[in-house]
Amino acid sequence: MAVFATQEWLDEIAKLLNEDPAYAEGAKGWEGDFLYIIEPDELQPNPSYYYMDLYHGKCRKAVVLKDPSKVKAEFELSATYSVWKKILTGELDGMKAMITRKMKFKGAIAKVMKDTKSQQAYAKALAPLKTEYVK
Amino acid sequence: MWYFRNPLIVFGDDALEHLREIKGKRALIVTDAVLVKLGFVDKVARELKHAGIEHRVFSEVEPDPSVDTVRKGAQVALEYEPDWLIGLGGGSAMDAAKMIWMLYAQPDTEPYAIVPFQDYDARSKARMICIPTTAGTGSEVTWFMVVTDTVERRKIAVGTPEALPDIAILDFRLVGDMPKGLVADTGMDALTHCVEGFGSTWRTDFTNGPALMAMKLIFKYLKRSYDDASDKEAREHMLNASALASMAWSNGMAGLAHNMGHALGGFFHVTHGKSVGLYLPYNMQYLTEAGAEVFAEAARFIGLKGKTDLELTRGLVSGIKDMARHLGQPSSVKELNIDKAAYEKALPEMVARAIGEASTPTVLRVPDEKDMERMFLYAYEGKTIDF
Repeated sequence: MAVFATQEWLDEIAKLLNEDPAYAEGAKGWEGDFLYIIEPDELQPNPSYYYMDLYHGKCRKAVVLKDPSKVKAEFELSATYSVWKKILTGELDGMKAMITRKMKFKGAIAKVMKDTKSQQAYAKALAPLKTEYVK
Repeated sequence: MWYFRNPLIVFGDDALEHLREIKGKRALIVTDAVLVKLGFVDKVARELKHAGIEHRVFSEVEPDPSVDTVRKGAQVALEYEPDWLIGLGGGSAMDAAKMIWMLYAQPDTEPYAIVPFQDYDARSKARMICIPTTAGTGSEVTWFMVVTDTVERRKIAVGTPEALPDIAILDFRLVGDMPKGLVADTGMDALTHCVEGFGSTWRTDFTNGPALMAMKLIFKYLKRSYDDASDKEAREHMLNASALASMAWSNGMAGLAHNMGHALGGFFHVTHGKSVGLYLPYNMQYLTEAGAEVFAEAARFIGLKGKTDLELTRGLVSGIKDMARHLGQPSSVKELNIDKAAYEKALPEMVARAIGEASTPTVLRVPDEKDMERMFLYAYEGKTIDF
């Protein structure tokens, strides 16, 4: 089982997306890249970052970043390690996290709102993903 | 962490007089042409005059208001520069008013891109009062808005907590003359709101109270309100129930009937209350086993009898179907005279839209595309859900 936000974990995500024909079909209209920011908290004292480029039903790149200023992603999602963990384990609803501003979103939300099909395909493709956390 | 948000609620037969107490200079009343003709706008204008507030009227809101109408209204607001927006009417007028308010604050905002986690700074320019003239939408107590993209034939449901009105005025004199058809459609909307709010996985102690009370009031007063327009007690309690029901769902979540109803309404122009009310029993049948414990609690609260949770839940579904029948509501899509071939042609897109709505993952049993499609088809024929 890969540890959250490590390169091994991102490789697993890229594999699941790129090998899923339903994702290729469902997300064929989507192009956009994301910067994920994991803010420090009691679970992880230092910030970490990863980047994902999703392009017409394929994951073109999924990498851990040391310096987030090296990329200019179209969208940015940031939250503390604990919040990410709660969202990914289903303990906290992602939408509630955003409404309560525990997770912050930057970018043209209209583009994301219009393409619910690719989001559903993404969530379905990653359903088998098993993740380990630092604590 | 979570919230329970609510405007100041002014209620009772002289509630409109509260307008005399507000402070400001200019108000833009957003409404429709019928309410101008019926003299409702004059009633509001008289109260504003007492408060020394001048007003202008934007009365171009149509049923299922379009994005274009909302943009037009925002342009009027930008020119007039009101410090109060007043949404007067049913859900269409109030939703349009709330969206005009958002676009007035942020003119470059795309209506379909209004989201709960961005800042619009709406109160920097104006505050909002909603005055319902129907008893069902409950838009006066929510931060959600539904407008229609006429090009894509799509109803767009969006929301931001900033769009929660500051004041909701529930004056039952304004719903006293509602025609029967409107009582039925909007009443079914209110019933759907409280059932779905109560059955949402986002339910809380704060939403359960209003949901249960709304359900009790609706089961007691909706038929009376429909049968006898002079039954003031029933009309007043239905207006209150409508607000309570919307407090419940908007501080939690709506459910599948809303998602399917929006999809149907976008394609076939079926009124909101009629479409969501139509799908509600089918959705409840789909949720029966997963939601039995929850729905049985509601059934007991409104006084239904049953030995098991399943029996009570089925009793609640029967009660809703009986209510719809009494109100002359369709029990299947077929009864709406929608052509089956046209319905089936729209089906893939309706399924995608219903699945894609924000509340789909928050119901007690989350359907996949296949189940959603079957629910649409069963509802067309009027078949009991058996899967």
